[in-house]
Amino acid sequence: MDNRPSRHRHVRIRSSRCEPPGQRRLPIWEIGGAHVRIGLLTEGGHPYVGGETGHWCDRLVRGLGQHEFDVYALSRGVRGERSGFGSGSAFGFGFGSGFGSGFGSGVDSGFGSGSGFGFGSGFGRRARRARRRFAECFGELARVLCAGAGVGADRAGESGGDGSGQLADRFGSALYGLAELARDAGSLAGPLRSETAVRALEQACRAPGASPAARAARVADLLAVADHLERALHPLSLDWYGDDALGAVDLCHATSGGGAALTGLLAKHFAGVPLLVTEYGVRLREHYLAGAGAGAGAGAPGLAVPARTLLAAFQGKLAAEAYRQAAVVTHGNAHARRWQERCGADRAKLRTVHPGLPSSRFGEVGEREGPGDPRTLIWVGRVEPAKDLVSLLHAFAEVRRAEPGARLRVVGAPADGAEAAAYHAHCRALAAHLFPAEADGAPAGGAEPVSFEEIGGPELPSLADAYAAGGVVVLSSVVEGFPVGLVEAMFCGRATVSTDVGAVVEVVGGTGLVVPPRDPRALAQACVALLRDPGRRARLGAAARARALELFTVEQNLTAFNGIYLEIVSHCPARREALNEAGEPVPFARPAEAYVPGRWAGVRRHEGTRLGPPPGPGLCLKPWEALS
Amino acid sequence: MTRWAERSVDVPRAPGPADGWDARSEDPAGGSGSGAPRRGPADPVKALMHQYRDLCERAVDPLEIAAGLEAHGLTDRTVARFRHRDVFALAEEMYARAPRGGGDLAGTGDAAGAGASLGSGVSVDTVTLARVGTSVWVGTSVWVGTPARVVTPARTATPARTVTPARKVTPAPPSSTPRWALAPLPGAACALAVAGAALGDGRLRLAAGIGGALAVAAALWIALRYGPLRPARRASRTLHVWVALLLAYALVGDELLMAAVSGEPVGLRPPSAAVALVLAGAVAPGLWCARIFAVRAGGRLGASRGLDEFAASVRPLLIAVFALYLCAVGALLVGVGSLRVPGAGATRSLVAAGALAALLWLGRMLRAHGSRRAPALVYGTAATTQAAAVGLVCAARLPGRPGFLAAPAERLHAAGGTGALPALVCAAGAAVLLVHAVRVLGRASAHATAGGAR
Repeated sequence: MDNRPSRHRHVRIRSSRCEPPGQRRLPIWEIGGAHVRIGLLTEGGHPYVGGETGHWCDRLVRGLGQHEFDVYALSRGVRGERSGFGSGSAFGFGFGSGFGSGFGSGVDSGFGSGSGFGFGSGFGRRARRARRRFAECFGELARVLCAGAGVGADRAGESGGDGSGQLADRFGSALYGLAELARDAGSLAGPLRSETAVRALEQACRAPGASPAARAARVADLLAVADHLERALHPLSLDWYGDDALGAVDLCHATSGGGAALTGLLAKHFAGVPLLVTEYGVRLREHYLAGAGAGAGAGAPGLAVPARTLLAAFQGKLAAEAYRQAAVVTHGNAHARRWQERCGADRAKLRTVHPGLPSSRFGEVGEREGPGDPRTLIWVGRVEPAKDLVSLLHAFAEVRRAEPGARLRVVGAPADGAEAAAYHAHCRALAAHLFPAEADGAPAGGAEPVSFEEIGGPELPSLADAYAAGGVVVLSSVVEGFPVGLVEAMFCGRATVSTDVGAVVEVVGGTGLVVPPRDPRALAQACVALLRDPGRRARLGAAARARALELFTVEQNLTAFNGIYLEIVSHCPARREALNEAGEPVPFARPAEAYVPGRWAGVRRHEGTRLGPPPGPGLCLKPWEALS
Repeated sequence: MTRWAERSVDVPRAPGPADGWDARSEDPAGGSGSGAPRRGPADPVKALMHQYRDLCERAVDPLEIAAGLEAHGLTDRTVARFRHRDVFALAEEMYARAPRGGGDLAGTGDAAGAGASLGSGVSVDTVTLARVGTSVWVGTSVWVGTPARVVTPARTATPARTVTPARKVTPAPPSSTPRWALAPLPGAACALAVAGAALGDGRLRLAAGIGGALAVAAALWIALRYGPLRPARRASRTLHVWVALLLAYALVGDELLMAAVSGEPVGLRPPSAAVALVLAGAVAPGLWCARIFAVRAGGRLGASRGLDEFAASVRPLLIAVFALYLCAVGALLVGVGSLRVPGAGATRSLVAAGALAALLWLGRMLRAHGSRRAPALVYGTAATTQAAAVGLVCAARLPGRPGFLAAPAERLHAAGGTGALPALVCAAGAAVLLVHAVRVLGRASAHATAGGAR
């Protein structure tokens, strides 16, 4: 059945790999290597995901040449899909449109077709049964959301109480029920916006066990929730789960939570494909922040409390279900790890895979013997309020008092937006105020104490040159995720002084100085200490470079994911019926021992039961099965 | 005012069931009567809550507070100052201590009118939020021991942000304001064309007619494409065919039928200018009525607490708006009928044009709210009936054909005169569509694109 959603203005969905088999890249076969076919699930269309990890997926696909990647991209709009088709890349692509602004309200009903339904709007018994099943499943989902709102999201894993576990089970069964319905009866886009869905939400909100916030929901909230749920549940309506698409891969790698993880969950449900979830930014946290941003933003009014409560419950439940079903969950730093644990991820499944950065362009600078100008502090980044350049300037004023010859070079352009531009101007004004032109003492030729520069000028043609120009690299942010600039400085072998935010401590380890954020005096003291001690600078720089090369290169990232892939396919392979050339099932293709429960490499027994797709009693695999 | 507020909020307790403006608001002395021990003056969490009170009030669960705190730069190490293990634990305490607006919302049933004036109808709890905000969170950091050590950067030490319900209350300005002001354009274009055709003759009249038709079509396209009657989904091609048939019959059909019945030769005839004026002029009130309906329904969307309540309030609204539209069309009919334009004499043709306008308006309203099949069905039936009547009458005049085929149409024509048939057909279609629209537009999901997306 054709499950393609029929919303107009969306490009057709290519159901599976776009390129014909002849044009696909042949995997590199190695002796002793294993060939894994990976369904890479991404969000945000092509090219892959955005965000601070940039083209991480691209590097993954190109770097792991021994495996075969099928990229399935959930796109947010039309633009991404168009660009995807022109790329001519060497791997398969599938595209799903979704997450666009919704058109149509699904009230496409003729006379007598009840409640404005998709499913062909027919009168037949199948359509009636589909409608009834939809009402049951969606009602169950709504009840779970209303009951778990406010308490379920955070406690799902930690407390492990019966109530939350039961709720998680009900959520899963409702979700998979809807998915099966979408597979059997067609797209859910219409039904999810229909009166049936809204009425189910209303009944769930008024039910006795509903949370107080949900009980206060009004009609507008119900509509908003239905609208958002329709968008969030769009992966259910895709036709990706057949044997020619995600059913044929060995494992699904969801590159983010949310929609991509939902796709992976469905592939696991329908085809038994093990799931790997990678979250460099925790989706639930982004959801909260996006909600806060939408509420605080001028103009468009945000959602009201009941709607946000229900949607947060949905996201929390979805994340918990993804963590529960995934074979392995990876994250980029300890902060994301804490969130994942908080949302119910089992610690045994969690792996830290640091993001990898290309290090080659910093190699020359890092290997160079002479450290840059020993009296120059370098700050590199995009100028925005979160970077707290004001503190840095105040700190540098103190540095100047201790070390009159010191210089500060602020390298970077203002970030996008009027606020960042204003902040840039403010910082420049502050610098001019703090360090007035010293006509008497200043040497000629642009050696003013503080300079604002940009990459690409004659003095600093490249990023590596920027780091090479100074002896100490400073990071003064008050908010930071994964500090890319800091890692680059470490690649360049520079001693660093950074504020204790985000993943900084984790990245720096012992190879740099860390001071509290928003503390100019501490920052100044650390800078002065480094400026006065060339030996320490050199030691710290060498250690930093060694640490960065060990932990934050692309190669280690690829190696880690390669290992995880192999681990997953060996521990919980997707079991399929073996077929011969004619497409008929081959009896006894898998030896009976393959299904005998047993221990393998110290993996605990209960884990096998949870990971394996069929409810087999234990973990079972054969080496040749893993390598086939 | 500030002192009792501090005292009343200081005691940790579960969020109260009553609204934020409860007994302790009226009774400053006995705010927390149980005499629970105060925390010491150095309650760092309280200062933090004061700093992030927006966040605390908005949060729907502790994780939201945790995410917000982290976005403001709090880490697990800075959280140690607040005697907590990590940000999550701190967020849980803040969530538990923050006053909730939820219980208040659940309790009030009479606030239905509060959101009625909102165009968007999304934020309905603004009144209670404002009350909670002002009654509880005023100046709590006055006597906290070490406010300077709390994470307050020099740069962000702006004056404490206040709850600004005004921002939420002001509805987003309707984006289509300049466009729906273009509504009279089709009528004006048609009037100009009719005037031009009346003044000139021969070639000039033809040119005026064609140019006018093009201008009316362009104006109509603009008005309907961007106005409040924009269809939620693209129409099928058959729908366009039916609408074209209906319009064609309204313009030339009566003359054709009269000629066929009376036995005159059936040929090309100039369209009725009066009917064209009525149809083009009815666009403007149609757009305005649709606008009124959309705004009012959006307000009720935010105000209603249940789907049934919403349906009960919207259905009379639809009928009232439809009646308003009928009145406007009636006034237009009277105006056009008093003009000296070709076709104005046949009263029943004008009435048929009015009925057709009502039919088209209802169909367009349904399509604007996502329903597509019912308008196509009714349009098709009406157009087929009219075409069949003309065709049968013409066919009966052929030699050797039975005459009884044309009998119903001829009898109707004899009894009601010209225009009785289309008036009857369009009125019946409009009645059917009205019944359907009352059913469909009473559903909240039909207003999802209007309420949810905005």
